[in-house]
Amino acid sequence: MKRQIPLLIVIVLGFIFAIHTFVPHKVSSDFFDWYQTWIKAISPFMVLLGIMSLTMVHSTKIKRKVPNWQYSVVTMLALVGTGAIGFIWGTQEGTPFMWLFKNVQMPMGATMFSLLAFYIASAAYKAFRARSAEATVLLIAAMIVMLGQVPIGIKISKWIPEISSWILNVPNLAAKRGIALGVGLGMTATSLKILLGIERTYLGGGD
Amino acid sequence: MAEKKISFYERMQALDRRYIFLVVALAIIIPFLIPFNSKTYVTEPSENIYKKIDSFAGRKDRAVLLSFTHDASTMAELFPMEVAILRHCFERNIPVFTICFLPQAKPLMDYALQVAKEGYEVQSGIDYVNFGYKPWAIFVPLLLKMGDDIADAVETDDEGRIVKNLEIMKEIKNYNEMNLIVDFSGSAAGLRWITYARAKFGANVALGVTAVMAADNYIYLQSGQLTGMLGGLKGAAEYEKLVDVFATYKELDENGILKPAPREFSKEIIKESWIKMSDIKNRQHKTARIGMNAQTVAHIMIIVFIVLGNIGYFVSKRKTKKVS
Amino acid sequence: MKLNCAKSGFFLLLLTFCLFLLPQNSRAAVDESEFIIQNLQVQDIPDDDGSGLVVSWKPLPKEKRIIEYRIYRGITKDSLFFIGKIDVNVKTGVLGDEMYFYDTDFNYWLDTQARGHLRKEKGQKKGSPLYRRYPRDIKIVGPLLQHYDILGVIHEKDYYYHSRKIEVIADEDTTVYAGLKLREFDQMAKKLLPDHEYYYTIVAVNEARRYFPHAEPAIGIPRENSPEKTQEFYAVYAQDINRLQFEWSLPIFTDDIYYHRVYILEKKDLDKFSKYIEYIEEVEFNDMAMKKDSTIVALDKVIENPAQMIYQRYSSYPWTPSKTVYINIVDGKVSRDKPYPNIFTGEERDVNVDLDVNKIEDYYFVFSLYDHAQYETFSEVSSVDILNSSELPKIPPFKIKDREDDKGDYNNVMWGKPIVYLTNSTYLNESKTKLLVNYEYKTNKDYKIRNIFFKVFDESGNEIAKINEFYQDKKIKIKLPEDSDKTQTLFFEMTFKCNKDIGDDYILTQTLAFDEQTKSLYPSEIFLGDEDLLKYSYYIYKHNYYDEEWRISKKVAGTQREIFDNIRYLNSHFKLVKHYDIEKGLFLVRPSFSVSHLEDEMDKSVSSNLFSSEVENTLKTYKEEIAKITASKDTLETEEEIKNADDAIKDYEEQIAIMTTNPILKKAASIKNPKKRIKFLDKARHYAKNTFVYKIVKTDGKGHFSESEIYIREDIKPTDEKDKFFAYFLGFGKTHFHPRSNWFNKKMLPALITSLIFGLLVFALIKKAKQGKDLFIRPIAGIQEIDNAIGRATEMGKPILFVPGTSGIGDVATLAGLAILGKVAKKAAEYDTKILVPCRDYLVLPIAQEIVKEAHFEAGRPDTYDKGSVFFITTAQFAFVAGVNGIMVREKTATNFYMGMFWAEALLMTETGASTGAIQISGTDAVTQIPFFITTCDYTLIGEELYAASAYLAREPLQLGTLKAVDYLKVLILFFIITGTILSSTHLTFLINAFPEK
Repeated sequence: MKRQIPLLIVIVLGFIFAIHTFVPHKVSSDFFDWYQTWIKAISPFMVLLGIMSLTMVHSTKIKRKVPNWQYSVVTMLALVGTGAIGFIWGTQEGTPFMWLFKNVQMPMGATMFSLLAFYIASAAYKAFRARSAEATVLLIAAMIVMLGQVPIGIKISKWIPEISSWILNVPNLAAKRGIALGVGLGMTATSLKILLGIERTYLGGGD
Repeated sequence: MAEKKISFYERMQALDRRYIFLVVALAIIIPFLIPFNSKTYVTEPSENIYKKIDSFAGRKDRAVLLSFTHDASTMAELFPMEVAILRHCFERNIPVFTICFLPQAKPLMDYALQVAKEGYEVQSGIDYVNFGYKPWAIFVPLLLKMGDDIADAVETDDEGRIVKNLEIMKEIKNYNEMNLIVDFSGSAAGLRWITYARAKFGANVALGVTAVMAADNYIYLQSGQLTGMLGGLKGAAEYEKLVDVFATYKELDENGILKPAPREFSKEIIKESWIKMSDIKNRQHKTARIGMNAQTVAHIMIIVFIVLGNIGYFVSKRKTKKVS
Repeated sequence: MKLNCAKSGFFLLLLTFCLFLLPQNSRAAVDESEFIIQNLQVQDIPDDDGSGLVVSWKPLPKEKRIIEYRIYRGITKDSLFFIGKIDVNVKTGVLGDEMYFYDTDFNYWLDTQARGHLRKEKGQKKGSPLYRRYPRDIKIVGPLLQHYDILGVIHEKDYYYHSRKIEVIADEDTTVYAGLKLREFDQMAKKLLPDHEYYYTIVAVNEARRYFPHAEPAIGIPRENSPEKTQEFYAVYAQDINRLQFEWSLPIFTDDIYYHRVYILEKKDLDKFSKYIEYIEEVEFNDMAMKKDSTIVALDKVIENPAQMIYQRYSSYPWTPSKTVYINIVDGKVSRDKPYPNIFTGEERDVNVDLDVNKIEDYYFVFSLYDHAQYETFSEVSSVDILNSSELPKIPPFKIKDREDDKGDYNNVMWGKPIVYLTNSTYLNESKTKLLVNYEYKTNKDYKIRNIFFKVFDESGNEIAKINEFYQDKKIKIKLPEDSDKTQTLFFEMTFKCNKDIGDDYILTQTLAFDEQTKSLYPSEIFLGDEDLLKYSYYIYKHNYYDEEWRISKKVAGTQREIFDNIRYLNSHFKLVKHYDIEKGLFLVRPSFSVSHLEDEMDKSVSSNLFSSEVENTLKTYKEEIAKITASKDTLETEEEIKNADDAIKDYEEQIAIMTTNPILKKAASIKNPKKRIKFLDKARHYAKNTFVYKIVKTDGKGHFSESEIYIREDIKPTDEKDKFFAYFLGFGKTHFHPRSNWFNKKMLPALITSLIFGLLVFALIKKAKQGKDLFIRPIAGIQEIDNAIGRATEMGKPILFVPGTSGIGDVATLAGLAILGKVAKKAAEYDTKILVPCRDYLVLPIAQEIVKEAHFEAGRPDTYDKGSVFFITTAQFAFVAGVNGIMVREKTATNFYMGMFWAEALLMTETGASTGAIQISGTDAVTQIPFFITTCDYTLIGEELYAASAYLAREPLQLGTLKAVDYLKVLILFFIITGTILSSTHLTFLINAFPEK
């Protein structure tokens, strides 16, 4: 029973939504709107799950004094602190919460994102080796596209930007479309497996 | 490895990535400090946005909506394009609306407007309206409602005024008039405009995205679902150039005074034009192009590294061959 | 980084330091009086209906670090409520010298989200009159109702079924109201009342959210003003058909405009007319003065308007009313069989104006706007433009159809034949011999374009190119002769081949001329025959059973060929809220609502009541009134009094007639079940409101227009006898069109067929697999390596890291990732290796926990399952990366799996993983991230391989069958792609067109 009821819900709702895709009627769209209000109502409860897990993991770490438990203290302090600040002073512009968001969260996010530049450089360095004929083609294509993106490209040859955009528009797109097609089919297949109850790992555990 | 002596090339092969990081950092920082002139090549997706916006010039029954869907982390790439497009609209008297659905985007949107407004006598409510922040949850409903009536959908602007009563709205009702939406994001958020505003109401949609995301959108460009795209700093630099070459173009009149004489877009002119960086006084108007210098140097550095790495690879391969 | 005492101490220090960075100076003690707003003023908004005030003040200087200004309003000085705020960018401050807040129109007043109780505003001194928003407390907001116009927006279900019948007894009369709780209102919106006093004040808030003292409240009184002057008005006389045509523009503010009128004025009377205008301006000025000073008396001289009214229409607020009208002159007269009413004065005006058509140039025409307060504003006088009807635009036939494949909220209005025009051109090469020309085409459902033919001629008339566009990609390439002049004008002739004949003479012409400024060929005007298409635009007019006046659905350019007219599902009632019941906690609204209008006399509304007993009561009252008036008629003396009495009796009789004979009301009265009765009335109301008659007008915007007849569908039988409901509506489906809700989206047919084929394939192949047939599956390196990777971790005694993507459970990729997690966790449990699963989504977390737990059970090692090994980190994208990277560095994970959906964080994680020397296996369907994974991971499952992985690992017939079905479907798709390419290359586009465009 523990398995069958959720499975039944998935199958029934799954088919209803599959039908919804083909039926534009008002009945169908009203049903969809109704469903969405429920989603909105349910979703806040999920936050609780996250917070509970976070608290459990870190409190155990602190209790057992596992290596680096101090980090967990910082995490817990940040969790409680940010929450408390938000509850006490609100989250409007000008409150300590907003200040934390602007001066801690935003710059830290930006920092992590900008690391990408460095990582891309080192990844490119490692990856682009003319190990084989295919790798050589990849290497040359990459160099042309890189040059095509910057002003110096056109100085070297007026063809570089053109070839660069050709590479992006033709081989790149061809490969992408191919992958996208496979992904689309793969998704459909997985969805179908879920609908038919073949795939049920999402219910927890194996088959 | 059998040999003890490690050659330069082999050392290049196993280069610690921290050296690469250092060189990349320097390659980015130095060009910022010492700007130089470089010629930006303008690509078609950027041209198309420019042409579309320019075709609204001076019309009161056309408008552009700029949707800001990003936070500060992608500001470096997206902010210059936002300023450039806003300047284009202000220069050519095109009504502009701005809106954002993320609280993080609100300050960036205000800042972009502030920066772009400098030097123009534009008035909120007449030349542009800032619709302000609207919750993400109502993104799609609002977007659909705009297909019917924009003023009804957004109700009030950022200053709390009823949008319906604003001068700018006089001839603008829905996507038929607000015919172009430009979404700035570092994610796929802009695609929702395609699915809803384009498919349902036939609005033109263009994107300003970070360079990493640009490759994803070529499919939509090719199929015509996207009117145009600005990809990363390069796209921003292209747009800056287009604005400088056409929209803010000045000509000497009969008295020998430089007067604004905006030109229509032409491929022939863009090919010939060359703007010196030092001629542009306002640094905010050339941010992307200065950034492009850094990007140029960084790209060259990476290419040099790749070339060195490959030479090293070949040298060591030959050696192993010899040994074997 | 290992933490020790010194380092933790450093961390704490850093945190404390951070607190010092808070904008402390904004919290410091300051002289509060410097933060009080100066120059607070409240002014009436001109040209409005007396409901608008504008509050202005001088913003504080930038140094004061103000973050917002809060606005408060009240009807007395001692209690002002927060009504809105204006945010300010702290860094830049406010650039101008003045700030404005407009308190106009209906806007937010109260809803269920308001606070329950009245609360004082923050940071104000004791005894301050400032409060936060209006509370939900009826004791407080109830008495305020009379000081505003409060509009309640009520969902129809609440209005119809939750209204309580409340009887209010006042002065012997009993009035019945529908009582509703606040939560049954979607919202209440307020509008200021004219000539009432309102007080406003402003509070500044600085960036530390400190509220400063308020300014001394300023008073404002909204005043009724005359409407804004119409800027454009054109009069045209078509002499051969004896017709006057008028076109005008509308002002911005239209809320209280009630009538639009056209007057005729003899030129010799212009002076008199100017005097009249001066006089009405004087009256308005005097009225205003009278309101301010009670000693001033009304003007006694009266000047007659020398202009005569020839046309009047109701403005049909809130719709955009029509902007054109034509009047036929019959026998040298402009006349109308019925007089025009004026509902404010009760007078009726006959139109019977003689005019000499031979001397039409001796007349002026004037347009006026007449508002609720009976102020009239005239446009400038306009002379008539005389022409023949052949000079007016020709209007193409048009059609109305239901838009297909929708939920029934659009009608499709289409007219004319397809249009194509050039938009741009670019040289493709240096020698300028190749020209790329962009074009645009417009058509409608009636005409499907098969081919567009372009013929290009040079200046001397030689044909240089002929292009057949069988697939319209909006661009054509033209080869110009090597030796030709590159700046010469090119002439284009464009014709079509459509699904039906459009006539051989249907040719569009346009030129591409060299433009000096752009140095390229630039398209000119578009001509269809000799008509310049861009000169004209179309108005689409419509009206429903509910409202007699034509309104503008849309105005579109002359190149447009169809519109989709949005007909919204309205399910709200808008009711004025004036009364309340404090004991029951109810707001009271009128229980009567209009259902439709009379078909022959559309200014007469057909109304009903929520409570059927009330309908009977009203009938009774009307009859009593008639009896009362008839009885008292003998006592009346003057002729006017008698006439008034007769009129009143006539009105009551008419109302009774409507109530007893109207088929909808009659039917409703016969329904005994109140719920069913309301349901019937609601249905009728819906059809009355959402069924439209259409006509189109083609105009140059200056009065040169032609108007079509209304569209009548010929191919329909008169309303079917069976469908009795529509018998209540004359012309339903013939002249009046209601969009239909469709049950199947035809555009999705290919998708449905493919889904069915796919389903069948799956079943067939599963059966085959179950029969024991061997299905070949291409080996996937990444999947085969999973076992080795887990083995490696076991050997090294280090944990495994598994990231199930960074998106939610709604993403199929996440589900595929979780399916792989099940297999990996089981193997890991068997080998007794620890597995760490960090999650970014709340819902993925419990599922992942359950999967890992189950895997341990299956492996027979329930004791080794640690719930803490599957944990939530954060939803913030880059903070999640920081968390995962930290785990990799600290725990030195031996094997990392990334399975699911990833964005920009992908490379940040895998690059770190590579640097810690872990074996990495990734799988994603995020196309942009695949290159990053390939370069930094040892094995990558590309796109669909991610989905195939679980089937591959499970190797059971059910899974394998599905996997194989995907392959066959791919073959099918490939077949269509290749055939489509070949066919369309040979001008056969039927296959491409069979698939929906999007």
